[in-house]
Formats: sequence, structure tokens, C-alpha cells
Amino acid sequence: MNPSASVPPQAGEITKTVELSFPSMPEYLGVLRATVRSFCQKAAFNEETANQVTLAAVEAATNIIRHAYKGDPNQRVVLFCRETPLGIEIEFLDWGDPIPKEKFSMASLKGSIHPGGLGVHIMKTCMDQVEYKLIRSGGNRLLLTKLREEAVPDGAPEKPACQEKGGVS
Amino acid sequence: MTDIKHRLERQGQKVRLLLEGEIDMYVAPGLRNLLHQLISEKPQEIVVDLKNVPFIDSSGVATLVEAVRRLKGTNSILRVENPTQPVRYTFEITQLAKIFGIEKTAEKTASDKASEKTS
Repeated sequence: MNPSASVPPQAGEITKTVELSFPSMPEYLGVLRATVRSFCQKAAFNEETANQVTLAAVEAATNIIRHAYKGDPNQRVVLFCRETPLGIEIEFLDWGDPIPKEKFSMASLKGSIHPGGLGVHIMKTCMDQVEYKLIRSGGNRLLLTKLREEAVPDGAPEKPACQEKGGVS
Repeated sequence: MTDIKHRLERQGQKVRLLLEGEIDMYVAPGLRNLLHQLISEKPQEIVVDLKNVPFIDSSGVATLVEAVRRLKGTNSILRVENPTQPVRYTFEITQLAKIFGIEKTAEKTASDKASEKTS
């Protein structure tokens, strides 16, 4: 018997994963939506939270297609959905142009509306953590995290401000 | 360009555009085209009915904002009616509900929560 089998999962340990690779074509956003929504439901998130995570995921994929790949339909986007003891992680990998840091630093809607900026604002509002990393060997990694309500620390505001992280991996 | 499923109801100078399906980057160009066509007819009011739209993202919202901007300085207006809950959420967190004439819900709105997060 594997001695680790009886050990309960630790914070951050991954329990279930779904992987999807899809073409950088807007017509595949529906496949992405169905996958993420269904994964959230399997992870027992309520409908409202499933809708928020799905919206954030669509915004992330739209930015990849529009900005990283500049509309080139012949590229690939890879999505990982992971259920962890703390919540859910939605990770995107692409091999397009790096996303300028200022696009991810926009914290509010002040100023005029630009579709890309609006997408980042939506991601940050819907999720608890948005982490963008430039992959040293080429490409981009975007990690969106949604915590279960019980994983939010006591005394935290009703919905804590989204944490923003970035760097090179 | 992919057309978005829709139905048009005309009553005098008013046009009701009933959209159907999810609105994202895939169908946004078709919606933009459709709205431009309607705007060129110079109706008094364009009502975009979203009761059969279960999802809208920033591409869809930006397309509707563009139509409102095109109508500035004309005698026409554009309003949004019957947003489903997820669609209302997108309008509220982008703080654009007001410009489409969408009233706030009685309970604390997503926009209020978004403001709390960024303040």
C-alpha cells in the first residue's frame, strides 16, 4: 500500500486536472467556455462563481488570440484546469509575443475603454489571483486562481483584492 | 464574419434587436456590422434585448459601447433590456450598466463589489 495514500491533501496540492489544447481561433472560445464551466461545476463551485471563472478564462484566451498571437489562427493555446484543496486554478500557456507589463498593471477602469485593458480588469475582478509569467524558453504563462470561500482567511474583506504577480520562469 | 442569431421587431421609429446566443470575440464583428446597419437607418431608438444571451465578454461590451458612441450627437439612442444575470454581471463590473440604461439590482451589485476591490 502506498503510505502516502492515506495522507490528506495539503494546501496547494493538486487533486484533479483537465488539459485542453485548442487552435488560436475565436470559434474555439465556445469549447473553452464549456470546458471551464463544466470543470467549475464538477469542483462544486456555485453557478455565480462558475460564471465568473468562465468569463475570466474567455478574457484570458481572447487576449492571447488578439495580442500574443495577433490574430494568427494557426497557433495553439494550452489550458489546464486544476482543482486544488484551496480552490481552482486556470492556467494558459501560449508561444506568442510577450504581453507588455503595463497591460497587467492596470488596476481600475479609469480612463478610456480599450478591449485588452477591459479584459484584464474583468480577470482581476472575477478571480482572486492573476499571475503572469514570461517563460524563459519562449512564450507566456497566465495563472488565474479562484479560492473557495472557506479558503479565504478570517477577517478578510467580503471579496479580497485580487493579487497580481508577474515575472520570468 | 460570423452572423449572430437575431430577430428584428420594428415599431415606427423604434427597432428592437433580439439577440440570441453567447457574445464573444467570435460573433462581435457580426454584431458590429448589424448595429452599424441599424444605425445607418437612423431610428429614434435601438433597443438591444438580451434575454436570450447567457454570456457576454469584453468584446461584446466594447461593440455595444462603440454603437453608443456612434450615436452621440444624433437624435438616436441605444438601450439594453432584459440582461440575464451573467450578462448583467459583466456590465456591472465594467461599470457600463448606466450608459446602456440598465438599472441597478436592489442588492449590492457586482459594480459595488468591484469598486470595493479597487479602492
